[in-house]
Amino acid sequence: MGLIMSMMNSVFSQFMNLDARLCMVGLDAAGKTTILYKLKLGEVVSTIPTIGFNVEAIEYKNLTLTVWDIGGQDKIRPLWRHYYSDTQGVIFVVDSNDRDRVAMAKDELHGLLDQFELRDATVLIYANKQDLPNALPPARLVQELELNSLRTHKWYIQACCGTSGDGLYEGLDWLGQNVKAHAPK
Amino acid sequence: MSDPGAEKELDTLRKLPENKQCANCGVVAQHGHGAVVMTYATFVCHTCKSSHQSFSHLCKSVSMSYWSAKEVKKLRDGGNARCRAVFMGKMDPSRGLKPGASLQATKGFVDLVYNKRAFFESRPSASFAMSNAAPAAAPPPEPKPKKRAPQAGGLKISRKAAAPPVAAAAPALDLLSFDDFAAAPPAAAAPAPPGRPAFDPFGTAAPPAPPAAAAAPDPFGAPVSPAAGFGAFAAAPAPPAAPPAAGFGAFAAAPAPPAAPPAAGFDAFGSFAAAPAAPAAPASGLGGFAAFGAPPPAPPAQKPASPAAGNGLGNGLGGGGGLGGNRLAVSMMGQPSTMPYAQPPPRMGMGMGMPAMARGGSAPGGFASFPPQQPAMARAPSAPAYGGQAGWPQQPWQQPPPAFAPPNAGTSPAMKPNAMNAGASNISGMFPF
Repeated sequence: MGLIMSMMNSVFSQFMNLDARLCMVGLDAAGKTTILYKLKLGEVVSTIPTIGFNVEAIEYKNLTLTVWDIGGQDKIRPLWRHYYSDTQGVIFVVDSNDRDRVAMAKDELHGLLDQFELRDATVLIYANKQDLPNALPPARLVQELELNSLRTHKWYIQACCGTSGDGLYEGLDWLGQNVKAHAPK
Repeated sequence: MSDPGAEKELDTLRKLPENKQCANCGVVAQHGHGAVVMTYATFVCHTCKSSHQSFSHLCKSVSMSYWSAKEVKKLRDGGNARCRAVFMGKMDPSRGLKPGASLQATKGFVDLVYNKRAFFESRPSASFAMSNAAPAAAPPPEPKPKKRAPQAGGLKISRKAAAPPVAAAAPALDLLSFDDFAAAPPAAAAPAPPGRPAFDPFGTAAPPAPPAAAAAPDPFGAPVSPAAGFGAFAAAPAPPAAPPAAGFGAFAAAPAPPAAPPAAGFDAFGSFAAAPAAPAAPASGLGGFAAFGAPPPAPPAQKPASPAAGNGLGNGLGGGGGLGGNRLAVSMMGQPSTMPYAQPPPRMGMGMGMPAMARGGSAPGGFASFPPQQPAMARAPSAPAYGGQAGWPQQPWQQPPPAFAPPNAGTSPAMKPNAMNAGASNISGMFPF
């Protein structure tokens, strides 16, 4: 029965407009703001470090995503948790080229997903900056971020390049299919 | 975490006259710039910081990052004047970046100066001594070569100036400058970040051996996994490549795969799947992973990638398959039961293929098994995709490497530009349980 319901749900969701609130986090300089505005405006903006947050509503297919892009500097990372409530999905952005800080990214990601408010959240990981020659491929990031040990959340890692936009919509595709969106209030 | 003393000193440093001027474009900030490029120990404006970030040079914010005494010391030893003397030492002033340059221009400049090191001055001492304050001009107190390796991640441009040529040629730029890696002596590549202990032996031991490009001409070269030392794979084609491998550690393995031109040495880590010919394990201790990733059936894995190149992601990312020419994605559903509707059909097929693989090897092996799935990823008509699957249980890693290397060499040219293609494109829905 549950299966049938969920199948019907997935069929209906094709036609319904749904809202989802997403939180985009990641270490500083991972490319969150660049990704946000590439999705929103289709162009690359010159960004300054995000203090606080940027928030944009992005319409994609039948989904309206409200994306909160939260600054990733280490001093303001403790503020992330204030944005978690009522969040259906997390977009975690990793700078694939920054091998030195992958471990730090891993800690932040796992810390994030231990949060109670995010227990049901769907996690999309953007392996950003794939255009750089030294970038870790997603498969390596799966190891480095220890995603295989992540059994509590649905996750998906998507290689992308925030400046060219490659891969961004593929990630949203997955998110659109997997996030627990709700009808607009 | 935070060190008030250090942050106070940082504030003093940023207000020094030479640091008030952005290291790249020279724009002056009244109270000092708010961004620091740790990789080069400079204070820069926001535009320049953005440019540095786009190359993953480590940047920190003066006010929004925690600072340790060690980091501040690095800035004290470095600073804008020194950086200019070193990285722009040979630059004609007219070629310098003007204040207020566009982001695009700034990026180009940063790439030229720091990544390509077009104006790198290995001994800036003379001019620099005049232009900077005492600490920087002082003789290098720490040029013990051994010490350099552990410092790894951080770049010590300071002191390099007065060091002998060999040391100067190896500014421990750690992993950032692989584009010119081929030309650099292995010592430059050797210092591995502490996070990867497996490399350390090579980091400390690396002798000034000949450049990687010259030493690893073997087209199938060096399937040598420096860290894990897989007897089986490493041994087979090892003879030609073994000696250099000892010298360069993990990086030597990179130029080896025929898919990668020597200059693409950066590929070392990434290419585990791209390089079916290279059992060069990402030396992260996941032996099983490498074992799988290495010798998967090359032809089926590589060929379908090309048609897929035009598909979506590929364009504009280094030719060939671009970012993989398809979905570079690894997926795993938390709850397998949700799979039927959550996953596109082809993935389900793969998912079902999974248990067999899992039995075949270690846990990480699950991921290394992507290569056979490439056909499906490439969005080829789905039937062949399962062909790849079916072939898998034969455990292609048991094949002697030479058997697949030649065909791979044949297909490689198309793949060359983007070894990045590699790992990624081969991965798809996985259910690693």
